[in-house]
Amino acid sequence: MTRDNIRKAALAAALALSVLSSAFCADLPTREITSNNIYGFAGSGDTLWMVTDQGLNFTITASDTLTWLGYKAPLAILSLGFGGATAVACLDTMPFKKIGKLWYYGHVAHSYDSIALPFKPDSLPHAGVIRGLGVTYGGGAFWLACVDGGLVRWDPAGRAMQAFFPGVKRVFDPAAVRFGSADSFTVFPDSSKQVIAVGVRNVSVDSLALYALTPAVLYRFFPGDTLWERLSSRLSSAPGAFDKYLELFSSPRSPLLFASIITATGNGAYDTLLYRYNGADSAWAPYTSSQYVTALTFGPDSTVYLVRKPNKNENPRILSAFSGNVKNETIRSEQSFAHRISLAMNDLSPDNISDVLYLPSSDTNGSFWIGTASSGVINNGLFFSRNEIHDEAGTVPFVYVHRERKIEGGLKESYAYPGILGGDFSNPTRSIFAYSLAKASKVSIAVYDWNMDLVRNVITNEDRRAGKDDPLGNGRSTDRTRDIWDGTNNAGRRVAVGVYYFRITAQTGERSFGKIIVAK
Amino acid sequence: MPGAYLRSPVDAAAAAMGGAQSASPTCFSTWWNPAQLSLVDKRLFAFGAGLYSMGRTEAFSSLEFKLPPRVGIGLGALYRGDPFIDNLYNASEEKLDAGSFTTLTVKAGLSYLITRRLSAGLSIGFFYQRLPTSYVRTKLIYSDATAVGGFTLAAQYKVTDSLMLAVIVRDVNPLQMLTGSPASIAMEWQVSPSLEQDYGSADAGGFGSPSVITDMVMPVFVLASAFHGQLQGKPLEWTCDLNGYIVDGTFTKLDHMEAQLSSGFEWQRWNTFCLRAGLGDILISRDITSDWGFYARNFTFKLAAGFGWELSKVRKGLTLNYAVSTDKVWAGIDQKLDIVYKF
Repeated sequence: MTRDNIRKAALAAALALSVLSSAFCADLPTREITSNNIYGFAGSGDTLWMVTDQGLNFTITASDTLTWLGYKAPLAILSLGFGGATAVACLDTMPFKKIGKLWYYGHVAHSYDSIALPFKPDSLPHAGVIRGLGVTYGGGAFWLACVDGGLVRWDPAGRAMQAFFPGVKRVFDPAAVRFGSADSFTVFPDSSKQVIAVGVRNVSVDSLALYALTPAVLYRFFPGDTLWERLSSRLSSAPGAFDKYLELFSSPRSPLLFASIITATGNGAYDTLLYRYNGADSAWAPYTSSQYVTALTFGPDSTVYLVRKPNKNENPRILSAFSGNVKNETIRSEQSFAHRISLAMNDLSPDNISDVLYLPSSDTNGSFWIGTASSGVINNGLFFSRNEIHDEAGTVPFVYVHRERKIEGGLKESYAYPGILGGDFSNPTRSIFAYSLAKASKVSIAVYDWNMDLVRNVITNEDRRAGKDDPLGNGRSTDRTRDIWDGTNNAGRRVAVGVYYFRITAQTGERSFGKIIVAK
Repeated sequence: MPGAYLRSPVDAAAAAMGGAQSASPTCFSTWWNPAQLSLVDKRLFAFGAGLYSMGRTEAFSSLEFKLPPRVGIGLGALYRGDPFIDNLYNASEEKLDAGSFTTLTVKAGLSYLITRRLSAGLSIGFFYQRLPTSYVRTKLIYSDATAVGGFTLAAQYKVTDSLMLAVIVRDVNPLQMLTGSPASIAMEWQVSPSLEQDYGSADAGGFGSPSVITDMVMPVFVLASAFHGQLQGKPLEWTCDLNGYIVDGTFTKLDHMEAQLSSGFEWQRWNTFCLRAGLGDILISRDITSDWGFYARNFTFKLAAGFGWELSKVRKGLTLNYAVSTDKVWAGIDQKLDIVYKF
């Protein structure tokens, strides 16, 4: 689970201005979370968890028939970890509180609860921030990267929390930490102690080792001895000078260690590249020449899958596979990935790949998962490929999973989503008409204003399948690339803010009406 | 078109005649034709309500009176909206809370009888709209917009004892021209971004920076006539309204100008009971010649009927009006009922 990608889920949190909620509880488990905006993964064995914009979804991946259960999160989720039959989501309380909360769920016992990080808000200076930017599982406990709260260990069995601060031998009770006091830190905030990412190096309880990333230093931490070991930040052959760490990518299954590092290239310019740590010469070497790597997962046989942006201001959507520590792609090209993903969704391509995860089922087998989120509501969803890594020919397409509500056939139920067409955080500028025909037919969809004057012919006498023939299995007749309205009239002009009415008619005689609000 | 909710006929008598009553309104002249206010006999009070298809609703009330010998004054208020917006979903297909669309229009009018045949009038309006414009997960966030200074300008001429003509311009704001702006009614909305995730607060405007969206209400140019004759020896009134949409809210000529023709009649078959019928909103556009197929597919109009029943046994001057019409998309029928009291 990468911090950068999870941050996508919290994008709107940065917009939040006011503070209200303090007490909350998780919604009841539901199968109705059908969000297809997926921002991050966590998983182990055959269990896959996903962060969506509605909350958490999880599924058992043992078969191709995925059965979902979801939990509506009360707040945006910053990071997600899974281990020991428990999933932990770090909630983004920052719009209104400096101290974050955890939301944890026992996926075997089907229990869930929330817990606040037990730091005292009063002790935090104004600029202080404590929240779970990253979470990982190791040694029977969860480890949280809590920024100014250091590295926090939480044992879900004992419910106890401990705080560790980089370079500090002492173990702290979070509730007793007094920032800025002589007893703890004389300088605050201290960026060398701000833990922004965490990774597990070794999961053995006896010899557990973690990585704790601060902006300036990457530490290897041995909690058994409270030993902090600084790794060198020397760049072996960089075009610029080390400036700061941005992100950490590690896996207990792999000896490879990666970091996104910002380097100063002179004249006030900066680059962000993916570097691999070479233990032999204690230096970081550039792993790819591509900038803007946003997600990475470790496959078998030293394979690394990574996602990057084509350009700085574009969404990450290029997925590549790299083998071992070589720079060039040796397994398959970026193009073949794009093509295979496109195949899964009828020649569309996702415009934002949020996260990727390889879930090993054995030393050589596993499933590969791609999560996407879309600025619209069309090109989003989940992709997976079983044993993807062994398909050398590159011809096996991904399976595309797009979850949708079941709707009643015969046009007995229809609606447009989103029903308010306007300035969403992801800026969707179009709504899709959801409907299900009893029989295949020619269909027309038209939009009218309050006075029932025609505003827009969305489609006119176009062939649509019966709902039962939906290839995605969601029982819909909707053509998700055509049955959309962008809030313009037949002349192509934006319509006025107001309520509009749509009519769906099929030549079989079925018809349905609905409402949609335009606020764009 | 901006201001779509302003285009339907208001009272039941007008609705039953297809919305063609601008040259001889039964009531609410402040809305229809303020030049008519100086022709009112004494005082007139009306109130009524309408239930349209798809859950659209309205209610109105108006008062008109004459200050002899030449001045007429009118006041009116109209609510229109849709209180049953209950099948909206967010982008994740979660059902949103039920919402409503509310508008309130208040108009005050003044008329002056220039000659025995010619009168002129104007009314000024206050416009208010309220609508859910964003959501936080499933909770709707409302925005509203107001505008003051929408004018209706009218002139009415009695050609003969049986023919009345009227020219009306609705929904313009000449005062805006003093500031160098188009003479439009500007409805300004503050729209917050929608959020699929709940961040703990659902105050309107509490999320993100609301964007300002300005809609300029489109002016309407109306030519109207009313002819009074007889059918089977009983009084018959035949009315026509031609509503033209020539410029947009910024007074820029429309690429696709169009007009709507409405026509209806009222037949006083019995002394206390009249029948009304009409066709409304017959679209006249360039498509008739340039794209007949499109026009024919989308050609709609209102088929309207109704009655007026004088309740003189209850109280002298009291009339009950009822109208029913199709809604142009066959989703249901539109009905109106009102009471007009002349005193």
